[in-house]
Amino acid sequence: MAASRPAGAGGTSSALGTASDDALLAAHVNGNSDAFNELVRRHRDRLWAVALRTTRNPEDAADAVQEALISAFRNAGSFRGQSAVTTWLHRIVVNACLDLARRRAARPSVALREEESFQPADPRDRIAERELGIAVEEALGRLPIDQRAAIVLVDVQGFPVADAAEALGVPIGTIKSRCARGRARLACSLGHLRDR
Amino acid sequence: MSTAPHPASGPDLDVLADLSADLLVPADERAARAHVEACAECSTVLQALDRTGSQLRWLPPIAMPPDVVTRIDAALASEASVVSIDQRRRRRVRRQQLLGIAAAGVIVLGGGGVLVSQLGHDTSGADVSAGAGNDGEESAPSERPDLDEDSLPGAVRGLVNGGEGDEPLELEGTPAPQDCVASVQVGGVDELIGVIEIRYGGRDRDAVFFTTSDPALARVIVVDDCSRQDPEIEAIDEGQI
Ligand SMILES: [Zn+2]
Repeated sequence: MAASRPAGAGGTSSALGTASDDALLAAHVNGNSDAFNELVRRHRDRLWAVALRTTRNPEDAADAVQEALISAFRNAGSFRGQSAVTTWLHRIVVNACLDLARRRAARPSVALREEESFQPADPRDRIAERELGIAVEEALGRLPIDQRAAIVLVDVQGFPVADAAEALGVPIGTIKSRCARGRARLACSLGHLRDR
Repeated sequence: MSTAPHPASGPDLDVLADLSADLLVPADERAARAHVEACAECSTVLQALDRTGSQLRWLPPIAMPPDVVTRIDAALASEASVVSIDQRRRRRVRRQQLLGIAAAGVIVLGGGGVLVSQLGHDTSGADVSAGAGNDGEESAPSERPDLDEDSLPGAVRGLVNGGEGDEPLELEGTPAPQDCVASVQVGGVDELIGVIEIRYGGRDRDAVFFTTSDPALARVIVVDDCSRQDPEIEAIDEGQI
């Protein structure tokens, strides 16, 4: 009887830790107060990476992720499972970023301190890799935001093109084309190509 | 592979980018591939595009900085507490209705049974502040907006003005004492818009309005008396502004 119960509160958190994203979201909707936190804990680094690379500004990225997660927290009941929970979360974050970028369009952009903002998760990354990474991040920052958002999702974060299309609310062909043109620009600004 | 120079009529960078992303229609793709096989320069371009793609794929992961983690956890905790205050409030309302606490008296029988006293005999019971005007029986209905649980969210838009561009949000009506604000404000995220006097469920109440993280929504907290520092919360809701 009592012995068959999971021991203490640890049972709950480890159950959440192994639950699927869908199960966590459903638990949140049903009033489990830890489920949404677990979902956030699981995805926050990727959501942050998308937001920072899309907005190019740590404050905007934090605003966008916060706004998006609160919206997801409130509107979880409207998630109908047409897409993966992670795609849904990314869609809300990317749209918050694009909204912010539009609102900020008139404002002169704040120059990013690349070294500080793009701290790799793994500090053991070698210096040469870091320098190359910084050059790529800088080049990415010079792309138009639509191309940048597509490339961040597909090439950097590894989203399937169909999921990126859903997240950005555009046809698959548009995503492919934004990625292709964006890569061409990047190849130029990274010096892989002579001017053509 | 030939070393013939890339002709002006050859594919440009966009076409090569489309080729590498499988975006060309079959006829164009065949033509482009035939050219690339014979053109060292275009092969180099395709390799460069591939290299760019793999550099993007190998960008290091970025971790959310600890200060952002803390900030977002706090914002979500604040959001969660709004929900749970609301749930607590509803539970308390139900319990009060069940136990008749809001009415003059309550008799709990030893066996756990409950005698529900009639609501409506609304005298100044132990749980109800005796402050003037709180129960509205003696104060004449004024120009206070007359609201209830159903009409509250829809009334927010009519009560809160501004918010276009840099225009601050503000409330119609007479400002009331704001001693209660700190005790009903949830977290540090939302900002006070103002406090007005309303009728709620037929009684004089104070409605405290806050911004939310959603610029299209205001939160309204109905309290019994905002001149007290620890008022009873009657309702929490949100409405479009
Ligand atoms: Zn060529």
